[in-house]
Amino acid sequence: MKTKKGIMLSQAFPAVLAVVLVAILVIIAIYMMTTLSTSFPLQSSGTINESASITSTPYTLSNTTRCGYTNPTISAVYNQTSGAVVAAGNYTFNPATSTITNATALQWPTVYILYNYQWRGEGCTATTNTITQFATYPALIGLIGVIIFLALVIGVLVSSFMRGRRGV
Amino acid sequence: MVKSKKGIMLSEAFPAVLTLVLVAVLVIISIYLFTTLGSTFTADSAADNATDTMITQFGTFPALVGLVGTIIFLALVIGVLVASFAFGRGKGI
Repeated sequence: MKTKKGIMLSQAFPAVLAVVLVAILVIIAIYMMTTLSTSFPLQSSGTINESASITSTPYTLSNTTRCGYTNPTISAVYNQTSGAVVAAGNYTFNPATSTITNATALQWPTVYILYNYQWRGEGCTATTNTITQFATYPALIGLIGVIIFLALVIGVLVSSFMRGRRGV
Repeated sequence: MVKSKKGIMLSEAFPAVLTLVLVAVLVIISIYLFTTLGSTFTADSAADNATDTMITQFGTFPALVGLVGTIIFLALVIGVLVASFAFGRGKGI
């Protein structure tokens, strides 16, 4: 039985070319999905009765992590205990960071916030999840490349110095 | 005699990864179509609920596509290792 040791130099170019093509394909796929994620149309959504607090610590709305989240607007804030509306002058809302900051010395530890926002939908979420998965592939492609080159080194060494060599 | 295959050959890498990319894009487009379709149904109707359930289920597929991709690349690693160092006649990578 003949033992094969390493990759022959004549196989090097096709092997590395295959790895390069796969690497380019993965990069193009990631770029295409990034573009796709921003192409989904914005859809309006709203949250009713999000439990929050207006204290000395700014509060960040919970849906900011949704894919394509943008244009939040506060509809109303209610005191959970009394049901009374917390007037808009008692807090400041920063749409850029979606944080509510207490504008007074008073505190409302338990409130409900009603707000609307726009986001790009479940398709966008699936796209970003897929991008996260594909982002793990370059490391694996690098590993394959390292193995190919190590096999090439061994192949050249063996074919150069073994008895009965038939060339590299 | 049954011949055992170990790993994916490097020549099969590009078609395998291309298939994976196409499946990933198909899943994403499906979710977008379900979302658009769901917006045409009456809220909380059976069709709307079924569509929402479908979107939730399809939303788990990207992670599975990622798993398939990882397995493909690990099989490629094994295929290159075996083809480079296997006993018997090597048929190349």
